[in-house]
Amino acid sequence: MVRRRFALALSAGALLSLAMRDSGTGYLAVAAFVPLLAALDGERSPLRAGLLLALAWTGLAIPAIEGTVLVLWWAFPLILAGHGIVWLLAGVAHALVARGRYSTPMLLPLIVTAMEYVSARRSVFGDAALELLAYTQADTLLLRVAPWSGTSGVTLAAAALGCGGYWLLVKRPRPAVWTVVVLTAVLLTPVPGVDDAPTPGSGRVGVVQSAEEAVVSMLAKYDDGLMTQRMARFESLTRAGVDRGAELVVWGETVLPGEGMTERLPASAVRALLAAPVVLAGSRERAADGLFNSTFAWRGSDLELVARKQALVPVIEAHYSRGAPVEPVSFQGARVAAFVCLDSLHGSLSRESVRRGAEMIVYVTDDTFASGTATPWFHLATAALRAAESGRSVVFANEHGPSALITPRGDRVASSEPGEPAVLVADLEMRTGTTPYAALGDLVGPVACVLVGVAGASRGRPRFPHRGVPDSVDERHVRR
Amino acid sequence: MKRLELATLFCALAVTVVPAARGVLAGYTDLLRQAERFAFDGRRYVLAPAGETDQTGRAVRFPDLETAHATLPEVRPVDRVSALRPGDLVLMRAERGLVVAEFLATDGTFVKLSEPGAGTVAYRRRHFDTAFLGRVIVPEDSSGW
Repeated sequence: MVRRRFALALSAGALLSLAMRDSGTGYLAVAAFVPLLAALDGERSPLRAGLLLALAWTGLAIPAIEGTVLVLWWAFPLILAGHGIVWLLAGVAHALVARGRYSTPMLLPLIVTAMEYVSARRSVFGDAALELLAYTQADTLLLRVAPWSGTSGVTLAAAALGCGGYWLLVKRPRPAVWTVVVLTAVLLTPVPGVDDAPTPGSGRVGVVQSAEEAVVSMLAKYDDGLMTQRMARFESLTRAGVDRGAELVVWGETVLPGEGMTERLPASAVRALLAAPVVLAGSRERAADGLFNSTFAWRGSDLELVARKQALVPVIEAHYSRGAPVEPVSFQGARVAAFVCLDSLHGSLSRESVRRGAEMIVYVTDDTFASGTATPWFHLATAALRAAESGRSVVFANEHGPSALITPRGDRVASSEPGEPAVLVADLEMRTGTTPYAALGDLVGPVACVLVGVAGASRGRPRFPHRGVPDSVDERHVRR
Repeated sequence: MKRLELATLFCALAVTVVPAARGVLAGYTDLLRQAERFAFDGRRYVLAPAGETDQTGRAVRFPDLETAHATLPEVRPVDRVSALRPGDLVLMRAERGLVVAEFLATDGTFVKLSEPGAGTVAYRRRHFDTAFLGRVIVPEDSSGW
């Protein structure tokens, strides 16, 4: 029986893993809840329940963070263990709280949502805070839930729908039907700030992805010849974008040399910047108060600081100072908020920019380090969630790829493959509406935490007495 | 049932661990290929081979530190790399014995040098720290070292 439970948890992990990869679909994550529930249903050992859930979560986490192996190998098991503990605790909580028939499919969506919410708290995990399940839904209809309550809403929807499948499996169609009805109602309800959002205009935006080799990028600042070669590629791609009508061209993270000082830009970089009316690009910035990973704008003559990276990669970026939230900057009539790399994992940062009046959000990043792995695709999925929950167009400029231009609903209008030089150009809407998430933040996550707490507190008074009633399909099988 | 469980384990590994290992291996192999172009030996990248650059580092090798001290005109101790100035001649360990290399630049991550026999190289900082002997050669006159 125990082996069977672990086999089911492994199956769930495999489905979750496939859902996270670019070759899979988010619906596999929904389907993963069926074997996961079958594994957990009736499991009374807290430790075993914890291990079952942690095992399934490992399948979800591996594709998301496998790229870290290439830059800091020991970070991979550390992140797996650190965040896996949260899911282990979720399993423990489930075993302690769940009592009676069908309590597992009722409780698990709440427990998973609560634990993902906790995992994503910067106050708990710092900048390594990470949630995963919601990002698998970047290519599904459930992404439409994001404007209501950010990632927690999507997580709850995915888990609840998966549990609906389990209800059907145990021949209890009514809860499954109700789950579908409620979700359909949520999806069909016009979202304030999205469906009725004022659209003051649109802009033609370009993204340049040079996909230069990692070693060349790294050594270019020590060698004039390499720098000239690198910047020539940016120049030709930027010109191609402008020829296709781009008014604003975005480059990736830390691609500009000169540490943010116009006078230290090499001639080849100035030539490349002059190829477009406005360029937004990442650069290291040496300032009086520290070294920053920043975004600069070039409007034909000088570099202008737009934003500094707020969420720093632990250990790797220890030498950088942390940026603070800033006002959006106007480009070609649009108010744009810029972020760097890991900032895209934290919805609270983009939410703050929307509250400050951002009409479009730009992420510059460089996932060259994770070349060949699924991590850059996970990173792109985070940008799609940020677009959907904030109701803003998002530009995701990844130096190595994949890059994308994303609508306020989270759909990609243009995207590129990793490892290939590319220029993307598309019209993006500038929005001014406020989604419920932008106005109120993530409410579903805290509510899920409270409900799990209440369920735990009322454990002494089970609504469905355990004695005499089979706990699960499995137990009924065994008794038979 | 046992066969089914084994099959599940096999399938789960096949879709979870195998693609991850393949992706990591592909990324690592690609990085090695890129580094090979710059003759990376684990410590330094060669930006311009000796034959393609104006070699300013002195092609002098010393078997040990005592010989170097006895031969060199004068040495100035340097307590940290950030105290080096472009153009300084630094004494450092190389693959065979000691060499005098010309310090060109550093940004804390790499140290750029003109190294005799190698060319213009970029040392990883931690490897440079190991090789650097904390001595800068002060030439007796402009035509000396």
